[in-house]
Amino acid sequence: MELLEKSKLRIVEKSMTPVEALSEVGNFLHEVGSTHASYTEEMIDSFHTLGPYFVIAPSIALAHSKPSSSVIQNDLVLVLCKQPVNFGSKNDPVTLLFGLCAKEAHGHMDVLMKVGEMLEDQDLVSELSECETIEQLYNCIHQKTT
Amino acid sequence: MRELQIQAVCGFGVGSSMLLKMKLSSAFKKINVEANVFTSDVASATSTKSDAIFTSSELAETMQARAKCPVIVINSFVNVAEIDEKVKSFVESLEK
Repeated sequence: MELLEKSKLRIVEKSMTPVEALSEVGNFLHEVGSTHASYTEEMIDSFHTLGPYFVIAPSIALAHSKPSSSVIQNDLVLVLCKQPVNFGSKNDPVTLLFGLCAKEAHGHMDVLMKVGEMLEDQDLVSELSECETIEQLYNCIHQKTT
Repeated sequence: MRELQIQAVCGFGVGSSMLLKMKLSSAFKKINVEANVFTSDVASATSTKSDAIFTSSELAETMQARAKCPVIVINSFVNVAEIDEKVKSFVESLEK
């Protein structure tokens, strides 16, 4: 699977609550055909029960739920939040909101590994946050990972 | 030193913990310490035998009371310097 192609990128200008942001990224996974709508509900439920632990680094969230029948195929999408979202984490506010779904526990290792390497680069993370168009966002991601 | 058993924990053991597992594995390798790093979910981590649990601050709070091994908080799962340093000081604490 190609890492974050253009159809997997979205920029949101409006301000969002945590639940609205999770709905946005969940619906995105659903719209690209990778999850059933129930996956979005599962992500929101896990936020309510486990808290904002998926905010894994300053300004970066990796929203996901567990592998289940709600997942159609492994996928990763990215929502750039132009109005950063506060999830109640030490790493708030979040601008890079990733949405992950996997059919089985080890189904997305290669993609995660690439994203993990990409996000180590703090300059790139701030560059990504400043992108205004999908085109810019795509070029910014792929100049470093290809 | 024997091979250490290390848990990387997130809500379900499939997303952020996978990312953390990769960074932890390379941190142990860098200091030549043998470690079996595996992912767990927050519900089963404290009943699984291991030498240490690495996780986010939110999940650490829920595990701290029940864990039988050190629970080490990683603030940024993509900050290699932080992860390397916390792995190193954990290993040093074992050697004392």
